[in-house]
Amino acid sequence: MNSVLIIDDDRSVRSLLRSILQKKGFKTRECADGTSGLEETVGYRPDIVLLDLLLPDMHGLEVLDKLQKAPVTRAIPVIVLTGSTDQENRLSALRSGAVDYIEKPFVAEEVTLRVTTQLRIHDLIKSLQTAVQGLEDDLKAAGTIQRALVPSEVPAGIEDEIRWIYLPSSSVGGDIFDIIPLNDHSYLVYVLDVSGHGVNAALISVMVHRFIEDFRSSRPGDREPFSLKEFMRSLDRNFQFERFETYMTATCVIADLQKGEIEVSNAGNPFPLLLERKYTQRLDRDNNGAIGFGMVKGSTSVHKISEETRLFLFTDGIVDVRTCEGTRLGEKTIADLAESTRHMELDDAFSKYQALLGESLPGAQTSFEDDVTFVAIQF
Amino acid sequence: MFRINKVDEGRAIVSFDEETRITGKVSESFRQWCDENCVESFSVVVIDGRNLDFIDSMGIASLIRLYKLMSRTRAKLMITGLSQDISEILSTLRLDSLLDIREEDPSKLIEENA
Repeated sequence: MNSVLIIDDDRSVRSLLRSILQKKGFKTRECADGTSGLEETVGYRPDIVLLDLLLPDMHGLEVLDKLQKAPVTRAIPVIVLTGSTDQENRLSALRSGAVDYIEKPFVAEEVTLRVTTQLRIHDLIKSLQTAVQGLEDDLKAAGTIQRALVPSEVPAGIEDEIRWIYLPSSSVGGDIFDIIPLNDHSYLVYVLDVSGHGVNAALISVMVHRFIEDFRSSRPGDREPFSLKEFMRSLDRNFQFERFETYMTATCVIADLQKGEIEVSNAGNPFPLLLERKYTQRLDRDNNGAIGFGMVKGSTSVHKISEETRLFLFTDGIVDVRTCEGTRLGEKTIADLAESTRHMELDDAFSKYQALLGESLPGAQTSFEDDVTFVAIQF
Repeated sequence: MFRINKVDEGRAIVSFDEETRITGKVSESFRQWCDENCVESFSVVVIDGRNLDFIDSMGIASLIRLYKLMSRTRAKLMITGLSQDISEILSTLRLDSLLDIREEDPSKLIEENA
């Protein structure tokens, strides 16, 4: 049974409204002034308020304003009771948040129809808000699960300095990356981007993460070396476009510290940057193309590394970031920053990238149009 | 935002309003629009990309989906007028070897594929 609070100083009006509403099954309570009306609304929390504008202690618009400002009463719909010539106050009330008005003298059917209609709208809004809140909670939970798959720190046993930025475009995203020790002297790093954003892309990225873990655990330690070529081809075979109507791009690197070299395979991601003391190399050879179209041949390239080698891996999200001027950040800006920070410690150089992204986020915005994953390794 | 010019029963040109960005929700809308307009049912379709300002991975996926649907019936999908940025993205993805990317005027491509 819905409850109605009637705030009106005229006893006969209250009595009439009580009679009309109770006949239709509503529970009613009454107040004769604004102060007690406000207290009763907070304490009783009626489903709807009928509010007269001419009250003895304060104007009805002031009561309305206070109800709208208080978080506990803001959502309670208010119908104002006005005289037939009181057009200005009626408009002011509607502008201040009243959901409807009823003109005096009342027609019984009009009162019940207006109250019932507003309660129905209010119920619909409430169920919509509950549904949206449920979806937001689910998304948040999915985001937490996805973020749990991304490393929170460099795995034990890896002594290289590794820093990263991982910013999904919404609660969940299609980017994922990981650092996986392969044995006591080598590890795998990958950055992977599933096309699209949101739940669909996130679910596939979680599947890929699982697939990679399974692939890795089926080749333990040194008994069977982890073949990057086979790994890339296996991704292509298992995540065909037709299966999910989506494709992926990935950059995968195996760092072998015993041999002092890295093996790199790129499949459609922006080309990794390899910095040595005196030169920068854009690793643009042997690009396999995107994963999911049967085009990946598993091409890799091997590069010698030293303690001065620095490697940057990233998905297209950072390249496509729109600057405040509306232009794309572009690969050149990223490469130029890598060059200009070459002499800095990795932490200092990395903070320049964080600042660059921070400058591109206008106002209160906390994420970009696309997921951003950026990984820097100092060997 | 998306327009289809049905040249005849079997041929059509798909074009975009000025400075269209096919990203996020627009990509989904483009995919739905293609389905609603049965774009895949034509035997020759030219996508006029001259007004395409940007396309993200989801937008590219919707193009590939259209290509795959049309391939089933051996229909022909050509894309022309792409900006250098978009061409570079497709080239990095090696999709320039999958999709038929051209530089000619859309009407000329339609004439040539009568």
